[in-house]
Amino acid sequence: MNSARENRSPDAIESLRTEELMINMGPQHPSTHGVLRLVIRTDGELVSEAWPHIGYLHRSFEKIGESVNYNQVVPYTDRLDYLASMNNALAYCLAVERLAAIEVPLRAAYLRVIMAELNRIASHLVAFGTYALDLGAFTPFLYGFREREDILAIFEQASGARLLYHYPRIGGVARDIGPDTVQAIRRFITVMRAAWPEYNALLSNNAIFIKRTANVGIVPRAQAIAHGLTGPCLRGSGISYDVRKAHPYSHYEDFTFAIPVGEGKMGTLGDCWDRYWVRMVEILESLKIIEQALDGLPQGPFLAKLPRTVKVPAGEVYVPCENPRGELGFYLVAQGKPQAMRLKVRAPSFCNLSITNALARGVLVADVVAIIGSIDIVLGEVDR
Amino acid sequence: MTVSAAKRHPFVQYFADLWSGVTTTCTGLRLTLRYLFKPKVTLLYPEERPAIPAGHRGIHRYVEEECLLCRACEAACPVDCLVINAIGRGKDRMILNFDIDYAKCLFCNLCCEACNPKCLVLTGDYDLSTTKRDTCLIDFAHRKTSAQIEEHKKFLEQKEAEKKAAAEKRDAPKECGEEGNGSN
Amino acid sequence: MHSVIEEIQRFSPGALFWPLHSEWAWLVYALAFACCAALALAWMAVMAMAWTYGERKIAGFIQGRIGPNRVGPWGLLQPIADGIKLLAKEDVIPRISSRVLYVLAPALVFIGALLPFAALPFSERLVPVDMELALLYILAFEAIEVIGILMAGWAPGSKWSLYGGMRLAAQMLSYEIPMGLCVLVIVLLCGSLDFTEIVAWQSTTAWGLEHPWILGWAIFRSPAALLAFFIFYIGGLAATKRAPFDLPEAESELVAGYHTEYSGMRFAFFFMAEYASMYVICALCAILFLGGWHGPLPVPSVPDGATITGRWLEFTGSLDAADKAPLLRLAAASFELFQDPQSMRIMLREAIGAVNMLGKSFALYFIMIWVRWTLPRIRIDQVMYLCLKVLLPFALGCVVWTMIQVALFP
Repeated sequence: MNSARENRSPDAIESLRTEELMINMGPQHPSTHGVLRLVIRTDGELVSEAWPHIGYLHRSFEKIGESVNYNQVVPYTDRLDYLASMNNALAYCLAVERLAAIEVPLRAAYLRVIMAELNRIASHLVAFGTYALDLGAFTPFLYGFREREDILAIFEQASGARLLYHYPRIGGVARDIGPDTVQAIRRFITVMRAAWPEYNALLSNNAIFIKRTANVGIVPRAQAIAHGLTGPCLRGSGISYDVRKAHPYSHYEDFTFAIPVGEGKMGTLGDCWDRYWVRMVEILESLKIIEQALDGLPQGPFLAKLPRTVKVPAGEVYVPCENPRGELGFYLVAQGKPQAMRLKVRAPSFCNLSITNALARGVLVADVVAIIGSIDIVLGEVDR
Repeated sequence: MTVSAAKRHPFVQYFADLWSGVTTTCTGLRLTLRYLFKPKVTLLYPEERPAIPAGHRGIHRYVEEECLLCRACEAACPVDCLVINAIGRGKDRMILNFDIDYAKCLFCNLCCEACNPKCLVLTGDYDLSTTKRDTCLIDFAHRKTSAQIEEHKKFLEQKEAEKKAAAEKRDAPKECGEEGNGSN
Repeated sequence: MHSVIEEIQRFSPGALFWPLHSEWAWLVYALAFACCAALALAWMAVMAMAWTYGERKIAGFIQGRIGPNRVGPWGLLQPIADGIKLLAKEDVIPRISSRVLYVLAPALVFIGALLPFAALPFSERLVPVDMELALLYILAFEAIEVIGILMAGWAPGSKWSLYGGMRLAAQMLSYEIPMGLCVLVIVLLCGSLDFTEIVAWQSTTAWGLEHPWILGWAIFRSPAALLAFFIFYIGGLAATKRAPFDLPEAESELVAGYHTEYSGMRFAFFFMAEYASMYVICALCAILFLGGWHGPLPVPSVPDGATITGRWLEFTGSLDAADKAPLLRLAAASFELFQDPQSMRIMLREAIGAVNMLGKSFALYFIMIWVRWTLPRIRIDQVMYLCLKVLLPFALGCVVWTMIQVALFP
């Protein structure tokens, strides 16, 4: 929130026309996307450029991955995309298990799926709520968080924590769940199914919301693929690519679910409304997956028998997973020691954020807010 | 790449937009009015507390008497916030410090999972806020006076000396035994 | 409608009111005016503060939470805590700002919101200042607020806050056009700008009933008036920068806007002005369209020209200079007033009228709050589209319809 005068970079002063203005949507935001700095150059009312400046949340995750043991990395993975902690840890554990040829028991795989899908719903509820908040509708945020409280209570029963769970482990999951937790999950599914039409009545079908998001931030197919978009951003443009179907992991192939894809229902294909709608429908699909997983939950161990320090033979592996925000993958290079040699994170929000400038050209500043909200980034994984 | 509804005459679209604006607004208003009269979900903290399930990862509880001083917890910690300071080993050990720096602790539970006798567990106490940074470092070992520490050190030295003497006695008697045996 | 001071002048015989006939008359008048002004200010401030509490409570209830409940029983003292907090803040004036305008801007906005309270009636005879052109007076002060906003946008010296201020001023000004046209509808139907006459007109024969009760309200007398009511209300939402028309305020969260440079009591002025002008709009709606003080609660009738002060002065009679205990006589007259059936009737009439009036205003106020917490914000170009391409044509249509109606059925 600085005034324009302090934010002119030196080279901009020479070429600055009188109508152009450099605006800093500073690292501190009222919108809850994290510490993102957007430097926007406006030509009068319209934005001519919008460059994201990141790094305010950089915590050297990849360097830490080279200095601690494999199983000690798992709590750090929680903190990448802190809204989808289960999914991050799952992706990392899959990478290690693939390289070390560790067999995960079936019960553990199903538990991982249940938790990952619950976390997907929780993350999409945050995306829904904060998007509404950005656009000035304060109430849907609280309705979404009311449902999310049920999920966090389930996670607290299962793992002991409400946000950073450290639940998927190398070889399985940390703890088993009891009948209370199963009952709580089933109760939540009913509650969520009842609340979903209310979200649509309040926000999705609201004429003002549609006017703000439809035909705004349109991402054509080719551009989506060129910028490496994944997740709802990609599917909002009509491309039906979901890692859970394309490269199934953790027994996702056992479950029947659809991949929601944007259709340009309210405006143009690939606009903000489509991306938002993909997230909303994914909530329903995740509920289906959870139900199937609960119904088919087998008995058995929840963690494979492993030595205290996991031994991973030398080699490299990349396992993509479908995070709520897109494709998360850990590129792991092992060297036969208890620590990895290189742990690179392919973060979905980092790649999705790259499209900001292309989308923000020629729109009003209010639309930039709508665009960033529809891309749905979490700075934890953008900066790592 | 437009897959929207069939193009309508702008005149018709104008009134359609207007009508949808009015109807969707009314739908939203009806929903929020219903919620005005529904029961509220607020928990009046700190008078009302949430139900904390068993296994909630809060502050540690350490039972010093059962600790084997295997230091598995120290090794397992990903952020090196657990530091153990002890003298002696096995049953003769005296644990001087069992420090956990809560400014670093992730509450990830790796230390407790590594603990074999389960003398270290995470409890359900979550209300840990403090205003001073030095209160973040908590020593879970019982307070020992310097006199006790000195006494224990002496005890250990004494035991060490006894062990040494016993070992020397075992090693040295080669000459004695030969002498004794071969005294002919 | 007679204000208190005119009453006193009309009935003032003899020595009882000697100050009014001496060279100290100006002092009496000044004190009386100061009292009226203080009452109006007190009413505005208390109401604005109370409605900040009301808004937070209603917002909380809509969102499934309780709202303020710690400060005082049910959180009723929350506005006082807010006021203390704002007063205690550091007064910051940016160095590059234009000092005079920076200080003047919140004052102008506050004045623009406060002064209409002088003309807003609670009931037929309960009004601080009686004006025949009250309607024009109130609409004029809405425009003074716009000047304050423009100053607030210019003063901090930042180009972006200037943009925000100008955009907001454009929004407020352009929405006054449909609002004025809707007022014109009522004026045409009734034939007068005076609040008393407009409300009295809404209790005359309608729908074949001599005492039409609710059906006499303007919105039921003509479909044009019904549509005008909605247009006026939506225009009022936009003129007071309430959601869904609060984008300039929201934009100021992300970039410097017209009121991010203001903190503490200056910000409180903007804040209170917003809540006060919301009440002005709601009260205007109630008077013009919803029958004012002829509301759901039946109002007893009194003979024309009977007033409380008139009855009181009859009881006091005339005091001459030889009277030993004038104050005792005044006190006795006041006591008698509460036993006289006619004056009780008058008081009851005014009280019920005030309840009707406040009830309707507060119901409309509640709807403003309800709408704010339900709908997202409209983008500024869509706001202007709504005004110029939707509200304005429909408002013009209402005016034309009314003109035809009045011409054909006088």
